[in-house]
Amino acid sequence: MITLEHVSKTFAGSGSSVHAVRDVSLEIHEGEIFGIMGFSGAGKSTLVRLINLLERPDNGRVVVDGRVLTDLNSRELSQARKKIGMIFQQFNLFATRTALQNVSFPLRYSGMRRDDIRERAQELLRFVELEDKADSYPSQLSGGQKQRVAIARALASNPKILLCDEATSALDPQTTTSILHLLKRLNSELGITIVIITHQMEVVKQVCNRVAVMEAGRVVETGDVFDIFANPQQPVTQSFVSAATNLSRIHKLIEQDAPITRVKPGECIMRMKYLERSSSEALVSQLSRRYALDLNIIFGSIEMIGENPLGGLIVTVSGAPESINGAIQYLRDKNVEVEVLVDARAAR
Amino acid sequence: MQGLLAELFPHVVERPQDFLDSIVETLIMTGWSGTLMLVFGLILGVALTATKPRGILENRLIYQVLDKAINLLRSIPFVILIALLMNVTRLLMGTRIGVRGVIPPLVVGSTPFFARQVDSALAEVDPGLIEAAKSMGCRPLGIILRVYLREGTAAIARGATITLISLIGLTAMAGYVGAGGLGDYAIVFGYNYNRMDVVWASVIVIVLIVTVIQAAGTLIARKNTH
Repeated sequence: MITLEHVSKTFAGSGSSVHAVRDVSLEIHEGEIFGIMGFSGAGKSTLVRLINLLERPDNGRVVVDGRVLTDLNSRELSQARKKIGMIFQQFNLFATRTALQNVSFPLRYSGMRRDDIRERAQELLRFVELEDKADSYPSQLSGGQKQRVAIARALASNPKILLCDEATSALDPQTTTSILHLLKRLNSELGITIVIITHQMEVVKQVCNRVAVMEAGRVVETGDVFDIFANPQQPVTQSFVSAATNLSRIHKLIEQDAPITRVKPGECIMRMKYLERSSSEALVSQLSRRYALDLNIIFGSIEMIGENPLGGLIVTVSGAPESINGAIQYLRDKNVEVEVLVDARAAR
Repeated sequence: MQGLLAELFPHVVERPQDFLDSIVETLIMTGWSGTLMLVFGLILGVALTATKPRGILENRLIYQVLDKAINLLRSIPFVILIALLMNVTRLLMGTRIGVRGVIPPLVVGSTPFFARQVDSALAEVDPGLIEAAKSMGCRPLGIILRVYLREGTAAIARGATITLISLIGLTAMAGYVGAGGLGDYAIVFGYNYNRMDVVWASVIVIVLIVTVIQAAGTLIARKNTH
């Protein structure tokens, strides 16, 4: 649906120039929700603007829905942009226009009749559940409502693609969730391909199918969201993931010799991490029953990525050394990563 | 009432026609040059914004020429501008004196100032809105008409108010080319004969005109702020 081929973009600054995007190639498929994740300054916002050519790449090709956008003249490009909706962090609603007028904006002067425009705009406001706010000005709306109006406006010309530039970054977590639900609905009910730029892990975890991780203008890692989270390869991805799952906090606790990390002879602390999808078996009770072990959960962090749990548990295990070893083997066979962090098994 | 006016403004009441004539002259001068100034200033201001670096119709040459020309014209004192434009005025209006003769210098004297006001009003329009309009397939003309001018209306109205009021200040100098007006009336019939009532009467009318312009400007600005 969207293909970027070796695109680069450099901004001439005073003295030095900024390489915002360096030789990026990406393929985004029809009907998917694709995340582009990175810390601020990584070049994500520039990259998304290369898709609808709000920024023109210095080199490379941009192909959207079979058309080479980089070859179009400005009139053709304007037409092509109508099929690529875009929403923004700051909503960018027209302050002098009501919600209804904002949604009507892309339809006016397009040959459509006034009454039809009004009807279509009302229908879109109904879709984003804001029909009662049709005559409100943006200053009278909350952040979440503004973003809903912006989404309705972006949908007005029936786009096949929706680009979201940090669309939830200015919203509180609850509102973020409701906007993400709405985006999911667009994707499933209207079949719109969605590209989401974000620095929020939560967003990628909740809605994306695939993700690209950016750092210093380059895409360093691309893949299925679950795979990226379960098995991050690049340091920047790892720091994203560990910041999100907080399993790494145990290292700090051990270092500080926190009471919960002290073990009696014969015990050990281990970290169990899910690597595979749908590990929904009752692992803890299985272990304690089959190997006669006592498992004490220190803490755990399990998140749902799409429909699969990801994360793990930190547990203190006590029992016979051979049973513990057997249990570890059992877990590894089940494709659960096991790491023994504090070991007092031999001290018995 | 008549008696009170005759007592407060004896010299004005003595020859009311001169006073009324000068009010009409001021209104005609302000009306014509103000209208032309608004039109040209708006066009130039929009052109400045559009051709600016990173603007929607970026054009270095046009921008530099406009920018320098506006600075140049703004730096010439109005009285000198009247003299400087003498031949142009005669060519355009067929005369270089009277109300007709003062309109070209008034327009040239006030338009660059208004163009700057428009430029800074449009600079206040959030660049995000321009980006949003582009992403919706809006073309440059559409962006100017539907985003810049619409979203900038309140700020433009405030700038127009300031410019129109300073334009009235300029019309006071129209007497130099025999165009009359309240400024000329106050000096020739008032100041020169030491008739302070004539000066006061002129001041009162000018304050009234300014008040009306200011009120209209504020109203337009408020109607366009949400």
